[in-house]
Amino acid sequence: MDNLKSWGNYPNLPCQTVLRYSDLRKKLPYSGTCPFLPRGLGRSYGDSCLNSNGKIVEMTEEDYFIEFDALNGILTTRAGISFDQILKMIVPKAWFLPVTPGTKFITVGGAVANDIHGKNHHSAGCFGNHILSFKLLRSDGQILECSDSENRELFLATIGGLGLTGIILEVKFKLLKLSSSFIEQQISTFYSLDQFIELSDAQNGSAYTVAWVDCLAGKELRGIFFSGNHAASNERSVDNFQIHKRPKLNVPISLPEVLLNGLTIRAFNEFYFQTQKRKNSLSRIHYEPFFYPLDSIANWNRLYGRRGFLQYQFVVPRTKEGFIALNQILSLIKASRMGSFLAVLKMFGEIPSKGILSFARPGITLALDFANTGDNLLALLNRCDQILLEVGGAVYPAKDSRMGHKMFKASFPRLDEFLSFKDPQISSSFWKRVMNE
Amino acid sequence: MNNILVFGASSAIAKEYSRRAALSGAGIFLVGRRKEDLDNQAHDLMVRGASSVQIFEFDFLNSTGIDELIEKLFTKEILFQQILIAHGILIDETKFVDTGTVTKLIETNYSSAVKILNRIVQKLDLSQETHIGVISSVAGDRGRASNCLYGSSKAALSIYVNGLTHRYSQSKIYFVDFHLGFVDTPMTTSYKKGLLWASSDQVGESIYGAMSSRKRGKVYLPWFWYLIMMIIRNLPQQIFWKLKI
Repeated sequence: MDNLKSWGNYPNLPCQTVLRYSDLRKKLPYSGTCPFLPRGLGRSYGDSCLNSNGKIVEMTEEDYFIEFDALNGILTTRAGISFDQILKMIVPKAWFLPVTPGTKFITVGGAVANDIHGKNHHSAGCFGNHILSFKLLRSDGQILECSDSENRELFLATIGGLGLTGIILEVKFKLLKLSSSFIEQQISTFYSLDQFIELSDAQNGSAYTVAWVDCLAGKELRGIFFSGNHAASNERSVDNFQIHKRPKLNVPISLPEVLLNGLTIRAFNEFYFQTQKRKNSLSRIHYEPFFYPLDSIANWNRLYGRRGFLQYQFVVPRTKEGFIALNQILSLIKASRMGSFLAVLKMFGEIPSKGILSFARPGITLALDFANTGDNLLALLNRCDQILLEVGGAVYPAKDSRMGHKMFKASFPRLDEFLSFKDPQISSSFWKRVMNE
Repeated sequence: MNNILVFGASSAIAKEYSRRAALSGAGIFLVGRRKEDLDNQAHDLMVRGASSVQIFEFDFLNSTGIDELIEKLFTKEILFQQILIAHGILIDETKFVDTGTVTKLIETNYSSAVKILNRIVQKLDLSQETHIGVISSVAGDRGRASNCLYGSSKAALSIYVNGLTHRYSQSKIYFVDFHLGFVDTPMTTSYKKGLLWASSDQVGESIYGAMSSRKRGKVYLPWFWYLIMMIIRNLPQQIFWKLKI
């Protein structure tokens, strides 16, 4: 039995049995006593990639390229391949991922199952919006081709479906054409939520926008607003399509929890804010630090120590009530003195997400990290849920480790539709928790 | 353009090595037991840039088939610049092992590899630069309680490779005896990972790097195992026996 963890190292759940995909395949139709869960690189923060007292099917060996149409930018891969591997292959050929989250160490299967979004949501939607088709393996052994024109309902249930509808085997999706591997980045500062909204609207024409916020200092929110576009080619450069390098820094072991506390976090926030403020407002940087600043420190989650951390990411609608709710949540957090040095704020766009359980929708999303300080943190987050419930907000399953059934149902009003597509032999700790099973 | 021949192509390390070779446009020849995996790899390597990929299904326990395999591979038209012997099995030695399993381990890890190398050297064109890498293990550096069956098969293999290295030391045939430390692969899933563990892609890349250079002889991967094993090898017996490794 293996004690697998998720990215936040929380919750710490009883052991799971790990199976290789090649071994599971021989046992289909599945008649095991406990349900299984396909798993990629385990970068979900909470328990959506855990299956306590159940089986986990490791998909990372399914990391093959199947076909690459370099002319039209269409890539087909097995689901276990990582975005990191894909970028190394496609960037030198002048292509990029259509949507990428803040880390490249996720699998294609995980990207589909969480319908991940990125800094370009306002211009490109989610990953699911760029999928042409995928092959899905059900526990009865059937392999189904899914797309907008074939098994469409299963297609839409699987996008954002957290791996619960079957094992995604291979995915065909569209890429984005590049002129270089560099980004033209613009940095501005803001000192209130209103200023953030103004900046988001003003920069809506940029391909990528995101803000880092310091929610602990002062009365009002302050932050750094980043916007970016893929840069044109630089004829003088010999290496226009440089790929990224392996991370040089590593946190080899879990650090003592005392290192990341209210004081150190506030100090970091101040330091980060001041240094970013001083940077040139316009610059040309490689895609690596723009999209993946945290990837430069391997295993950075260990900075939070053994007890781990929780991430709370939610979205509020773009209405007066939504903004009030956002401000209320920010005040609650500031008052709690439970720090977050990685708070990311973004304006989602209007492009509808495809999946029944897709999280991204029009509004403002905020993602916050909290060291796992136990019951008082859980109580705080429950209070935040209450605020969200009143305004029709939603919490992101890929980051969640504690929301209850009420919040889950409210976040995904079409949950009942999803139930008929869930595979009866697949489950996860997340599912058991939010469905009170 | 390089032609690369890989024995035990389905192993995680060999896979990463082949991928690295594909990036340079090599012609790749894969020998392995699982046809479906070899087929998947063939497509994958072509996407990654290989100029061609050919697959040969072979079970390394089939010792009588080795001559025929080598004849099929070493036709007059193809010359291999790099040959990697990467096949091998690891077993759980904490429990009692039956004779059949011991036979299987010795045949796979040692006998088949030696038989293959013995035939390959007869086929080499000594006027052409050829790099032959063999994946061995630090487990072969000194016999220890937890894996002496595996360790001894690798130790024996290394001795043979060292002899070949010596025999061809003044020629254009470069033998490399790779002593690998802990590598995170499906073979080692049951082991608890720690600070000293390397990833298969790091190791595959290093192997490709060594075989693309004029490196000859023993190579420890990652490099720090050279120091660790120097200490382990030289520990007096009475002290070594007290260690639980």
